[in-house]
Amino acid sequence: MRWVRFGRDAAPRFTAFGVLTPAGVGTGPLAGAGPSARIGPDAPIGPRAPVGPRPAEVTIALPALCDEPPIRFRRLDRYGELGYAAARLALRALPAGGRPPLEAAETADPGPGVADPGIGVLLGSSLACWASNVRHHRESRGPAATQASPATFVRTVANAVNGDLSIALRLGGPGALFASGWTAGSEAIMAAASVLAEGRARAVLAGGVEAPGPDLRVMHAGGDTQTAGRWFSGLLAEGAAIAMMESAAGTARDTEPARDTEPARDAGPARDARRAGPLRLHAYGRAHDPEQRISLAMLLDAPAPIPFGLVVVANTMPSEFLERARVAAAPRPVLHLPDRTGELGAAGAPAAVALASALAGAEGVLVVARDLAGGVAALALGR
Amino acid sequence: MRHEPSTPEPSIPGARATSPEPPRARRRVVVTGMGAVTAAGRGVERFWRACVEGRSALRPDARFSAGDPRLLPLGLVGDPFPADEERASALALDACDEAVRGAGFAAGGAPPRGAGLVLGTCLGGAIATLGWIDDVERRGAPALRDCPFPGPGGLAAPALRLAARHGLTGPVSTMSTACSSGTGAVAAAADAIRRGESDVMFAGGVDALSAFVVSGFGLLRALASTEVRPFDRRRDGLALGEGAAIVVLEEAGSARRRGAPILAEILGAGTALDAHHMTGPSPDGAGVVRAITAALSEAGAAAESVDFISAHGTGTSFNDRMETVAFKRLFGGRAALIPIDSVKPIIGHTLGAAGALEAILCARVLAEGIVPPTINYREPDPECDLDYVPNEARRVVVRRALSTSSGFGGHNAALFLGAP
Repeated sequence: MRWVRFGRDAAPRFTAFGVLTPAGVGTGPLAGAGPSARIGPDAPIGPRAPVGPRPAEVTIALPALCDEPPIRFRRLDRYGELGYAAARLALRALPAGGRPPLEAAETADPGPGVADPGIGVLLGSSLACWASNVRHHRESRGPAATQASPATFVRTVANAVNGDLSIALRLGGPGALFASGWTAGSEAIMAAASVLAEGRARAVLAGGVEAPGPDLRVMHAGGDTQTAGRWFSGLLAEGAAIAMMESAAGTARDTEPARDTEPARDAGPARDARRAGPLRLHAYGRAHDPEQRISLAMLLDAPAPIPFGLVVVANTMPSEFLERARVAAAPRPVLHLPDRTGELGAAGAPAAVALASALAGAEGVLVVARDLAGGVAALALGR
Repeated sequence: MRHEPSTPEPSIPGARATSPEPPRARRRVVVTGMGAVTAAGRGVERFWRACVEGRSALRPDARFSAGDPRLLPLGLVGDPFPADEERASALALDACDEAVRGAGFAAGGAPPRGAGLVLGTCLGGAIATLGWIDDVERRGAPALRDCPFPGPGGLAAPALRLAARHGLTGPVSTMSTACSSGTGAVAAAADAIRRGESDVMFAGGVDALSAFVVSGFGLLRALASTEVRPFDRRRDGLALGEGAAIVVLEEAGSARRRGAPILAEILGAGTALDAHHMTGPSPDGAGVVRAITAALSEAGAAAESVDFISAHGTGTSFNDRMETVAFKRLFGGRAALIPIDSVKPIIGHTLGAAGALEAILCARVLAEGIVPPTINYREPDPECDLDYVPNEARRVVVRRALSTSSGFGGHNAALFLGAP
């Protein structure tokens, strides 16, 4: 694995997050902290609230997300809803002056207008439009195929969420959907960082979205370890985490940390984190490692420009791996995100970055994503 | 499959750290191998000959026309492939084998350690996964254990198969941006080399035909009734095809040191969102203009340097008009002097493979000095009034070639290639 490093003056910033997971809206529920709980790098890790057998679904409370549901929202499948809602949360968390034009464009079908070429949409998803694929597949089988819905077919492209966001928010910058399994959200963040560092955009909505759909959840809920359980060894969850990433060039917001819509908690480390400035991506690395030879210890030795104070493992790991990771990272805590949310797939790493933004103090955070088919991705973050 | 030694790469702890900036001091990226599977047959040469000779490989076929009585022109790959291999993966593996041989890796075995892959696709191995749904429904929920889930992959399945076959340990990625996937994948792989993530990247696209896709485009009334006629006044839609294309990209210095054949150079690439409509292109071509502008900017090249354009050219009314508008906006009066072609009437619209196949076409145009024709062009459209190289190939000296792709979701991508 080769690491790509960003110079001190080029490390892209995370300026806002929109996070939807079965744990709730925002990063607060991810931290597993009540109003009086300690959060931060020195906080105890676990025991976490058990996810249990309940469906790992997100309850999207539209009124909490927007005053008036955008018209586009009515056309979306679950995958689109989650992505759109998370992106909207992120944009609403931006200061009004730094926000792309929002409400005017999304309350009606946008007519002719000029797209902003400076803002891109780079996302990742492992399962993407799986549910719409299944629906179109069922509708289009047999002699009734000509009666199937063209609207459903339109939702069967994996990059539909990018399109929705681009159209509704008039974002005309670089666009891509990575579908490389659970590391796809990390890839989106890496691609966004490079796009920003190379000056191809000034801001990017980057993150991951997963909407497993009922078939995979049924399969998984049945506890069928011989088949689906082989691949999805944790509770398969839906969710979305999208960040607004901006180039390193300074603005008035340079001294502000990333925000989300969760009310800020005033616990000590979190308060310190907020004072420390925005989270930045300092380096990243990725590789294909189907035999799982790359250990956390190797990643911790990577040439990050700052020492790591916390490790967030974004995807379900075998317990042996986690035990080894905790030994390697000690005394630094290792937080296993799926314990709190279920397996978020490609949305896991972006959610982990959002959590890192809430927890990280002066020391850096290493976010590790791993796909059981071989992908491994590491994001080295710091203030 | 290549077997790795039991110890991990020494570079893992970070012996190699690179920086993506400054952009203009980047490493150069060259094409050293190419492989293709299309309705014209297996191999780049068959694809190229069909294009140059203007010989359409589309055939009327009712195989996937569920509920539609018409015989639709389809670009199906007729060659046999292993029955136990998921079809998109089989196509991609075949194309990749050719590319690896062409790049000269065959003599020394597998590609070098740390080689990676970016594969573009609309559906990847999803059709096989949907077959699992059918299986589950036939057997009923209690019998789930008897319906082995096809495993991880879905969209990523072909990329994972390629990675396993060739022992890839670098970045392995799947990109899905509808019909611009193949172009975007080549662009992303070139970026990975420029950023120093790897010295060798495979890149390309693949999609297999299925009733799923044919019925979908039928529902959108986007399919041609008889033949595909890009830029012609009588054009009435696209014909679907299947195929795969893989190119081997290498850092130029590394390729030269090992004596690899250098077939073309990736000078620049760009992507841009239309921000207009999920299925219809922006009529003013703004997204395509931005993608091309980004590609030229990355190359540090002026618009005047474009000698040839491999257009998306689907044969739909909206796409061909939009591309014509975009080329006029970019190139002004010179647009009428640039030869433009579409290979869609030859092999069909191969979706995620299309952009990668057209990148290969550009490399051959650069090497051969021949621009393939746009066939079935008989009646000029006043709204499409550029030089589409109608019906007969033409000898042209081409030093710089541009390839453009557009897809659902408003994704546009452009590749700018140069002669080696």
